[in-house]
Amino acid sequence: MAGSNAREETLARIRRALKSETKPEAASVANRRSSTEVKRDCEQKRPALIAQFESELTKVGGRVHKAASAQAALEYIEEIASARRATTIIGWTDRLLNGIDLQARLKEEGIEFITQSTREAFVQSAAAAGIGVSGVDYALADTGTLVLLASEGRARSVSLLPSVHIALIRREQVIEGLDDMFSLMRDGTDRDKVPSSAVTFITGPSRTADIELTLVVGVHGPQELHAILLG
Amino acid sequence: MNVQSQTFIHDSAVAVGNEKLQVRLRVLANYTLKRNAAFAELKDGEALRDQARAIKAEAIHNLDSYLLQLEESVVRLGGKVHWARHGEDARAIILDLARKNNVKRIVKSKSMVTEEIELNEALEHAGIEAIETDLGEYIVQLAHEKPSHILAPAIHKSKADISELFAEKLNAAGLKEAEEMTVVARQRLREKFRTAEMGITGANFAVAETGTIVLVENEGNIRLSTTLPRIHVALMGIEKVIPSFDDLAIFLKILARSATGQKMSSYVSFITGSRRAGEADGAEEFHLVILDNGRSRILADEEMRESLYCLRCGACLNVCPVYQKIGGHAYGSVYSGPIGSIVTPALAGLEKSKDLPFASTLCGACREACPVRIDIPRILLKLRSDWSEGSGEHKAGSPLMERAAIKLWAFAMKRPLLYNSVFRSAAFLQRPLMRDGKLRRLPFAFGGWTRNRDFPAVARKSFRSMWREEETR
Repeated sequence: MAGSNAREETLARIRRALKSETKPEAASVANRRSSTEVKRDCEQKRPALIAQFESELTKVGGRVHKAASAQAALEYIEEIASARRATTIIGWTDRLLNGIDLQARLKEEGIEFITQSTREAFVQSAAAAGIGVSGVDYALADTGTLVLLASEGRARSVSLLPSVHIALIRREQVIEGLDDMFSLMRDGTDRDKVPSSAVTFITGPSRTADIELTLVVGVHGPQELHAILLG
Repeated sequence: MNVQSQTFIHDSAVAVGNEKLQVRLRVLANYTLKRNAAFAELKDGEALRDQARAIKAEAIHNLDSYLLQLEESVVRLGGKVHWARHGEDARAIILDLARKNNVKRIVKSKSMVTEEIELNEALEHAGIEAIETDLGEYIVQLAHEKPSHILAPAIHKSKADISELFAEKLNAAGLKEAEEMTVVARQRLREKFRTAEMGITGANFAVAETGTIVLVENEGNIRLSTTLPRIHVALMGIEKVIPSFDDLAIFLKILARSATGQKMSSYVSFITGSRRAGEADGAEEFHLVILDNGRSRILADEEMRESLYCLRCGACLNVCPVYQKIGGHAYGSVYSGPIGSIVTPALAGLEKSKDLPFASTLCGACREACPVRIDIPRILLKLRSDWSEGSGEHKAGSPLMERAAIKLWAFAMKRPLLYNSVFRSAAFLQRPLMRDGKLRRLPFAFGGWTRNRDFPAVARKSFRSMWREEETR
C-alpha cells in the first residue's frame, strides 16, 4: 500500500530530475482588467454582445428566446412544459423571475415546481423531472456559453438531469468571454481564493459524435437547451 | 505500463489492408478542417499557443513546488491527496478506497491514465463493477476492446458493428441509427449513475492555487460522475498541474479548438473540493490521486521533457499521415499517434516499442498542430538515435552491418577523392540492378530497405562533375 513513502519518493524523483536547472520565468497571464472596467466596457457593448451570444448559442444547437417581461418568460416556460407534458419541474431557489412566484404560478397549471428548499430528496425528484429551470452567473457572448456556479439552493442537477434545461439570463449577465469572466470571478472570490464547489460551463445541449462521427444531441445531459433573455 | 507494441510492423501492415478501418479513418480529415477553422477565428491564436506553452514549461520546471501547493489547496478544502509512484500504487489506493466504503459499482469517465494503469481490470478482479460512461468508451468496453483514439475511442467501429454489439450485449436488437443507439446507452447508463457509490474521472488540468480539477467533455457523463455518486476520485499524472486559476482562460480557448474544432466543448466543469454545507448534490468526498508511473524519468531527460506539456487533445493524431492509415490499435498502447510514439517508449521502455519512433515520416504536421508546440519530430529523432546507437542501459539496437556502413559512409564523405571514385564505380556496378532509373532490389543485407520501396539509383553523372562542366563552358 502506498503511503507517505510514495509521496516522499515521488517528490524526491521529481527534484532529482530537475536538479541544477535554470528555471524559466513565471509565465505572464493574459492581461487582466479590473471588474469595474469590464462591467463598464460590456455595458457599452451590450446590444452587440447579446446579438453575438444569440448567434453563437444557436449555432451549437441552443435556442434563444427574448422575453420582454417576467410574465412573458413565465408564459414561455409554461409553453415548453405543456408541449413536453411535464408535470414536475426542478429549479433554483433564487427568485428567478422578478415579481413572480414561479412555484405558485406553475401550480395553477398543475405543475409541481421543486427547489432544494422544498424537499429533502431533491436529487430523486430531479431525476424524475422533465424540465430544469436555472438562472446563470455569466453568459459568454463569444462562444454562446452559460456559466453556472453551484451553491446552496443552486443544485448542479437542475441543468443536468432533466432532458430540457431552461436558463434565465439577465441582460447585464452577458459579457464578452472568458477573459471578462475570470476578471469578474477573481474580484468576487479573491479574498478567500476559493471558487464555487462546481463552476459549470454549458455550451449547447449534451452531444456526442462517438458513433461514426455522427452528431447526436442529448446523450447524458439535456437534449434541449433554452436560454431566455430577460428584459 | 503494459504494451503490445512489439508487433507494430505486423499490426500496422494488417491495419493498412483492413478496408473497413480505412473507411472509418477517412473521417479524421473533418477534425482537422474544423480545427483549422476554429483557430482561424481567434484573433490571437498563435500568441495563445505561445502563452500556453510558457505556462506549461514553467509549471513543469517547478513541478515539485506546484504539486505541493496543489496538495495543500485540496487538503484545505477537506479533500484527500494520494501519491502513487506507479500503477500498482494507484490501483491499490483506489481499491482500498472502494473496499473501505463498501463500493460495489463505479462509474468512470474517459481517462487515459486509468487505461494506462489498467484500473478496470484491477477493479473487476476485486469484484467491483466499473462502467465506462463515455459513449465511445462504453462501446469499446462492451466489445472488450481498447480505445483507438483519444477523443473518439470507438472510431474503428462502424454503425453496423455497434448495432450488432448492442443486440448481443444489451439485448437491444434492430437498432439502425446512431440516435437510437445513443438513447439505449443513455437509459442503461442513467441507472448506473443513479446507483454507483463512486465516480472516477481523470483531470484535464489541476490548479495548484485553488485545488480545482478541470474536466472538459461533450456528453455530460463527467458531470454525472462528479454530481451523483457519494465519492469522487480524480486520477492525474504529475504533469497535469498548472499554477493559477487565471491560466485556465488561455487553456480553455485552445483545448476544445485543438481537440474537436469546437470553440468550447458542451461542458467544462471546475470542481473545487467536495460539496459544501447546504448543497444538494455533488460528491461528499473528494480524493485526488497523483501518479508518477515513469513521468519523472521523462522529466529527467531534458530532450524529452517538453513531451510532458501535452494536453492530450489528439490534434497530432488527426493530422498524422501514419495514424491516418493505421489507426490507433496498431501502436499497441493507450497512447497512439505521434505523441504516443514518444510517450509509449518513454513510459514502457524503448525495448518494448522500438518501432514506434520510426513510425513517422518526420513531416512535421504534428508539431504544426500541437497547441503547445511540442517538437515531436525532434524527439522522435532523438529516440531513433537512442535506439540505434544505444543510450543509458540500452545497448545499440541497429545491426552491426548498418552501423559499419554508416561509419564507412561518414569516412568517405570527408574525403572527396575517395567519395567520387566510390560513386563512379557504383554508377557502373549498379547497372544489372537498375529498372527505370531506380534500384528495385538492393543486394545482400541491404535488401530490407527495398522490400517496400525503391532506392534511387546513383546518377550516371554526379552533380559535381556537371557543375564543373557548366563552369568551364
